[in-house]
Amino acid sequence: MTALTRVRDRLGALTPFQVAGTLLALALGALAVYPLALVVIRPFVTDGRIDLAPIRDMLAQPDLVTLLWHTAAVVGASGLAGLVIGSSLAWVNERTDARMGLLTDVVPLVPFLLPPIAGAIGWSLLGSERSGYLNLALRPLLGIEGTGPVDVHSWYGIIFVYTIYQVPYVFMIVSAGLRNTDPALEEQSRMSGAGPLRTLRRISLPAVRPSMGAAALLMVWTGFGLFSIPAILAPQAGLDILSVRVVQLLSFTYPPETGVAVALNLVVMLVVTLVWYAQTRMLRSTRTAGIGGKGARPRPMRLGRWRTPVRAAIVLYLALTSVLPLGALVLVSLTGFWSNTVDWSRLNLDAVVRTLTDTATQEALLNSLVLGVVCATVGVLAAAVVSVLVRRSGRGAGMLVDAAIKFPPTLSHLVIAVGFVLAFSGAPFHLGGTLWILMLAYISLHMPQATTASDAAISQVAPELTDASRISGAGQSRTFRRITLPLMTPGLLAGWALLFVTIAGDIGASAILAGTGNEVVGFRILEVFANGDYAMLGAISIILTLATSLVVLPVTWYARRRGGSPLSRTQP
Amino acid sequence: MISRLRLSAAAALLLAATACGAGGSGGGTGVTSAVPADAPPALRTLIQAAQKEGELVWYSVPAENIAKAVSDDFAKKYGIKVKFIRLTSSDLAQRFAAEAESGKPAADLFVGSYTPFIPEALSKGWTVKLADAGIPDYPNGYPDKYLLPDDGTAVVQVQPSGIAVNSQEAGGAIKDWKDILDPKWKGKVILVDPRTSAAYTPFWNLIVKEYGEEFLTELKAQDPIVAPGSAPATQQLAAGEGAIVMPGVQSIADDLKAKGAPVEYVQPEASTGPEIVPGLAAKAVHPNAARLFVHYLMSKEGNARLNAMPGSGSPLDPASLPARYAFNRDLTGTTSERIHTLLGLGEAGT
Repeated sequence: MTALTRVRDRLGALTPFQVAGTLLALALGALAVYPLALVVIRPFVTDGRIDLAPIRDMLAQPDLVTLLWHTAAVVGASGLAGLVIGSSLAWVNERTDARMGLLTDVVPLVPFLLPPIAGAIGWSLLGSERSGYLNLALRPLLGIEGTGPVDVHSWYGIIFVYTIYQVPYVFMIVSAGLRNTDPALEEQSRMSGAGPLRTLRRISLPAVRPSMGAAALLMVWTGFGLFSIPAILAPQAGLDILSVRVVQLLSFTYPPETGVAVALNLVVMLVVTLVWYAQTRMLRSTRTAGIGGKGARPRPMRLGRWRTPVRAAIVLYLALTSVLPLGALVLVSLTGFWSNTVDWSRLNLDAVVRTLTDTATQEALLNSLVLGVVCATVGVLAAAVVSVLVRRSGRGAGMLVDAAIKFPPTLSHLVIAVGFVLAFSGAPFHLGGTLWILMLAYISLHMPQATTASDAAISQVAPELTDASRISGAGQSRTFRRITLPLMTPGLLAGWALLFVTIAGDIGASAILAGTGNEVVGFRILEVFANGDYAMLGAISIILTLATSLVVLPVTWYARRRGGSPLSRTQP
Repeated sequence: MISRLRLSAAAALLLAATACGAGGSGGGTGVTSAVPADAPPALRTLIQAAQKEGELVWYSVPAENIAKAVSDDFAKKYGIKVKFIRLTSSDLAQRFAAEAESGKPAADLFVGSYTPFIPEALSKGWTVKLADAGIPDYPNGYPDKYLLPDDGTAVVQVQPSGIAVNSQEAGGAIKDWKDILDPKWKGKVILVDPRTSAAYTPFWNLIVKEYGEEFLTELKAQDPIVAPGSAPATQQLAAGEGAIVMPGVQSIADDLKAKGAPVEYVQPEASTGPEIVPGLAAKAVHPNAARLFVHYLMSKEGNARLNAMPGSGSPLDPASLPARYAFNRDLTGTTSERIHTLLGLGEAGT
């Protein structure tokens, strides 16, 4: 057989779905790699030759060890805490009689709805040593004078705030995983006399391992990337966090020290690669957790006398992570500034009125919500196609495309945003100052979240189902549309909600890409923050949170109903 | 009662905003006005060309309310629609550089802090020298010491740094920089993190020049609270988390004071601060409007408008500056690395 006919044979074997999907994956890969290359390659090339000076400079940073140690400790500790808290909340909500309907479904997500910059400010308002609202309230109760008892500008304070932003990833993805796995095994285990702990360890945990792996990858990825929280809380705690250092290197003076900043980011990329590799192996090895079952709703496990304490713990967690920071922002917005005395008679709606009547903010809010819906939808659908293809194609090319999509966003979003300006602002695209450039950047930056969610979702669709569809004569696109996509829906909707929220409140890319013609909320928040107007910042954050929850809550509710319906548990 | 008054003020603002179809940072007015009758021919030609362009987009480091006041006045005077966004000095540099490099600058000009970015932008051909831009009668009697001919620009605003104090904790006790070192303020000094921007380097050079490097080591011994910026620092001050902010920004302190916060601003005689300069984009979409705007900012009327708020000094009104103001360009010698080390802050950069 000649080479030519072999190629023709292989091309002939490709279905339209594969061709379209491959093109889509390549486009996404290019979208992630091309802008980045424009910024990143330059510092590493001098006179046409590769120059590793930036790496040397990075290694010569005097306090590199402190920097890496502080960052690893904060990301690691918050990741572990997030994994434990998030999975516990998910398990209690999906499998036990302690669940409280919509409350336990969605409230773990509420702190996530607050953009990190607002969350960080909310927590510094609450937990500052002298004048934090929480300390002002606790001191008389505990009979303490002076400062404390809480200090958010500390190791534990920062890890705590990071954890709050990590829990929702775990909760959403593990919930979707639990919903998709067969509870019958757990029931059988219990009926065979195993206690709840043993059932958890032997049956439930292995079943949701793919989801937990996906969640861990996402947490490492976002943990290193979080910028607003350490920027606001870490300097006072004397902690050095990598994302803050990178932005300092990029923006302290001009020209920016892009080389060293990128070299530092390579360290992050290395860690993410290791986690990604571990997760990929885990997904491949887990073949037992596919969707099976008899189409029966799981019968919740009875917690007995533990039910009330468990419920109380959940309510406490929700109050601590959602009600408190939102309350602090409401209070600062009504007071007009951060004050250690609350004069109830002087509270006013001035900041709220200013925010609601500010046309720039209105426009920004609308743009952000529309971009959130559009980008999350496009991103998640594209991710689903890519995940299916990557799983089918096995190693090699599939992995490469997957890596091209997933890794660039581990770099500081500031670097990537500059890359997008260089790539798309001028000729031939002329997208500078439009919503299109924001859309491209948002989709590209959030593909890791989208593909991680969809990878986990697809890994739970048993191949027997798609095989059955194909054997019955359905084409690949049809199988994708009719079988795979509906079965992935709960996981994908979870991913959609994550994407929507982070995109609607995005600050990193918007700081460079938004402007007079394409104002978005994140950029508006930065403007207001630089102006020192905490009252308006509080008002905008609360309005944004209300707006995003109006979108996310129904979606989550729908995803849950859908996941719980016997129809989605079609038998293989 | 106060809240009622505030509400009515907000309502009035709303009315004003809807009346001229503008508001916030995207604001601008579309009133067409004729060319002033007393304008000399060159200026007249520029005004007509600018009006033909009809629009101006600029990036502002001066605070939002000031940028808006100037934009509205310019729009009303010349009938040109004005759009602006407010940025910190480092964001402005990043953004302007990337856009200029892509060949499609979104802003016709920027009005930003004088930093190493200014000569860099000129040398890369992203901006044009004001003297070569064909601005009528430039520099039109503008005081020499505010002209920066080598960098092709001129200082249009000076924002002297000072001290913000909590009036309940330290009211009246702080008059000058050295008062901050009194041991009774230990743990109560809020230090605005100098690692966030190179714009703080001249300020700390001034302190070293006035008091020697000991000032910085003694300040470190005061165990300061490190704040990520002037805005959060002043909020912490208002709440009594600390008693003193160094360096303080008057516009932010005054704004909080007006809202009833126990915050005061003290202006020591020896001072320096961000010096604000315009930069004309070489490939501006509205080049004539940008030139007319620079002409306006350097005119008596426009410069007074730009510097109407307390906390900014006008080159055309020496009385608006602290007695011993020192220019950024005269304040070098101590590197940012040295400053950070003396203050006991971890180092960024090599």
